[in-house]
Amino acid sequence: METILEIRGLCTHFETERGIVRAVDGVDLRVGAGRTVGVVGESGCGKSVLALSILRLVPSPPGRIVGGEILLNGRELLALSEEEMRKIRGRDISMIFQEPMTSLNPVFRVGEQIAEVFRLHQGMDRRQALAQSTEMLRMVGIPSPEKRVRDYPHQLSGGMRQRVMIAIALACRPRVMLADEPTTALDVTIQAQMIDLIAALRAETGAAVILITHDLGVVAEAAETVAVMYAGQIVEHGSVRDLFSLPLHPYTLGLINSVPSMNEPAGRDAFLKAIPGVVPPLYDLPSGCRFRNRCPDAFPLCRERAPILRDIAPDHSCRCWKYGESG
Amino acid sequence: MKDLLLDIRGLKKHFSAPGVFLSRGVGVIRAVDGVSLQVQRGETLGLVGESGCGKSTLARMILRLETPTAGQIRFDNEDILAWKGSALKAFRRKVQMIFQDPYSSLNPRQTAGGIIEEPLHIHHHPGGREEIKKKLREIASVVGLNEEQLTRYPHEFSGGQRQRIGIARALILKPRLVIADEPVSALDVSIRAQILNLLKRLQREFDLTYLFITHDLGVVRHMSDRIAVMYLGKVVELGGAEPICGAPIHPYTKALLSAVPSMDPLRKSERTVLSGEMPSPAAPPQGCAFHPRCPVRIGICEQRAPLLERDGAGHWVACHLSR
Repeated sequence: METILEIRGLCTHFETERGIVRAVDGVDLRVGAGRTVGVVGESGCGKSVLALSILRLVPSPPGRIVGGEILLNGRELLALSEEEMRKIRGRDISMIFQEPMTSLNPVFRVGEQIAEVFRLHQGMDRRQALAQSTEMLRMVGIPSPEKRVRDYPHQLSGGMRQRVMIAIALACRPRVMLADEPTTALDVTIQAQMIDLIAALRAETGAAVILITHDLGVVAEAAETVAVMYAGQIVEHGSVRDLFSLPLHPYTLGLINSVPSMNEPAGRDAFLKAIPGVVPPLYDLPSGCRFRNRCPDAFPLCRERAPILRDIAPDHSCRCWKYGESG
Repeated sequence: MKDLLLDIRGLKKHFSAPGVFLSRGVGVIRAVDGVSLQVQRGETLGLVGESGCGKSTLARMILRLETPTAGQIRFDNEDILAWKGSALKAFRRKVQMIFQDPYSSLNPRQTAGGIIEEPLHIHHHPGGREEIKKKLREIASVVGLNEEQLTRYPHEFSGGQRQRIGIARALILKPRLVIADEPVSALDVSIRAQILNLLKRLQREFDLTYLFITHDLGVVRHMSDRIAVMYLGKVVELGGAEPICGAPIHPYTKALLSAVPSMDPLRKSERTVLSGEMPSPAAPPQGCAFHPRCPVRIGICEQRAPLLERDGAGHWVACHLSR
């Protein structure tokens, strides 16, 4: 498998009044052509900052990428000038955001917003670019694209707007597509359409996809590998099959148990096995393991030393002392 | 224990839609278009459907925040639509709501304690200050808030804690019916489970009746005794939670269930992905409202709207094919 994007030891910190927030704290991740890696976690785990870091869009100040490497086909993105980076965004790496209404410009027709990408990155003239936009709308499954290309965002439904966002993201056939909660604002039947659409387009263009979501079901359906993040770090990484059938980290298991099952009857007396407590603020993390305060399996070592992420089984790694102190 | 608490018959809410800018004609949006539902005392009825299906409008009518265009709502065998003034106010003590967004439904200038006890002041609780504070402390401890937290303001709380404040506010009047409109949708996965467990525990403790509105089928199955599935202003299927989720009959319910992403990586199976989107309630299709998206439609579906009919014990379906 050809690795398209590789992230090594990435650290993105924010300086705040209350101290340094280590939003992304030593993350390693790689994704190959035509593959999808899912990044799952709850609010504040650093998954969105990870995406912004890859695009080098972290607001600075207060944010700063303080360490690590981001390699796109072996090219170190963190060493590029801002001008070079601007050419990469939208052309080689593009992003789909959660909220299609706020990410589209309300005063421009959707066709023009797609056309902008072609004009900027491929130097097309207005006519050519608009014709290409119509093609893109057709590709993402919007009916009568030659009419829709003249619509403004408010004239489209939420699902259609998200299709437009995907069209913009795919316009230049990027090698990496970052999707940050692409289906969260959508109804389930539309969500299912989007998952299928992203999979079909990925197969067609060979793009590598990083899918960021809080929804374990979406990851299980759309990705081949998963990274579970907690408090700025990856706590478990493995194939979808391994991670969901045999979760290793107590946090992963807790997340899976927190979701009501669609396959088993519940009944009056069925309670969920909830994870107690809340995610600690990133400027005030507990000593040792960051999850220990909420962990049902914590023991004294967890308080003293922070565990490292290491392979427990082939291609299945976990950050937990439960599995011994060394490999 | 057949004890009817809420009885809704033929309920409709049509909004008049001003025509598009400078165009002629005024359209009618059929937000809720003939819904009949019964809620038994102590049960949880789940109301599930996608955005725009009319589930929130239905809830607003039950709370008398919206006046129905037609139909009846009876609560405890009394016609609530006839009520005004003090009778209406007394009714509102008995029906409380938990909102989706714990960020915008709490007054940022009030302390948590002030927010929770406010319903007691509005409804002129007879007890003195001491008794109100006692009630406040009681309900706060039930939902898992400590005394120190009651003096804090909403922005100092996390989403899950704010939802606890919203729940305490809804329960302090000891309501008979609690309408929960997407109460966990804005919360993180692990917090969601805490709040769902809390709602279940409170139901048992206070003998509550829930109308639980959500778009999340996993949540609705976990919480409900019975489920009503809505599509474009109408109930298309109604029955026990297990038959609805385990053996759905209506093609929309089937598609809705199969669209839920599964965590079981081995179950990547025959998913029915519906094409298209829910039509606008301003221009519902002829015949069955679902027919343009229905994978199994037949000729009659385009001409006649199916009625909600009983199909076996307590299971109701509105589909021409179910007979």
